[in-house]
Amino acid sequence: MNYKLACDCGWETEGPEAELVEATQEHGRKLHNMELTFQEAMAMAKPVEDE
Amino acid sequence: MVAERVPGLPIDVVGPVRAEVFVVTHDGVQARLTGPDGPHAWHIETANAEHPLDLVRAMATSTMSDVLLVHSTSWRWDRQAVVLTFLVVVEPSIIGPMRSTPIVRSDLARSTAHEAPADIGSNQILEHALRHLAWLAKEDPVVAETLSEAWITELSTYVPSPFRQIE
Repeated sequence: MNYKLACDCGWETEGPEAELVEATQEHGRKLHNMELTFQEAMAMAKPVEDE
Repeated sequence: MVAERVPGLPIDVVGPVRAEVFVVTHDGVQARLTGPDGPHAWHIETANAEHPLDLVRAMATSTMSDVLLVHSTSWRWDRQAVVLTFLVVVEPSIIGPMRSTPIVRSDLARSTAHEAPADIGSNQILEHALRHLAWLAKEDPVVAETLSEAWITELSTYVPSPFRQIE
């Protein structure tokens, strides 16, 4: 299943759970000086409905 | 533990002090707002025991080339935290690799005799930041020497203002 996550700064990512979390953690660290856990990232993610 | 999400802020930026950064440049014609995540305020968490100015400088130079100036411009109380606003001036060569938009002038937020204004817009914070840069350009020789002629001309249209609380 794919998930989508949107940061309020405009950055977005979409993909499988592990990839989405990795991308979000990198974005948080690089641009917002944040260390996000897997759970914190997934708490902000929304599942993408299959079309 | 998942931190409580604050509406209007990037993901879950939290903490008693937050840094809000406006990245600006001048293309020779007009001042422009830009930033590593787009032409808007860039929010950085300062939860660690690092000096906010050192942190903002480090993050600015690690994400962007040609950083000319990093300066704090104001502070305010917003959403249960102190927000320190910084202005980062970069070389115009950054336009292209990063999105940018012309800076729109704005009136400053005004409080009443007894209450802070209900809403302080991002444009108003940026307006004050550029007024503070105009003040620095007159008071700080290093800033004056660093800014281009285009910047000095642009800033002559701003009312110089010291660092202050935005309320």
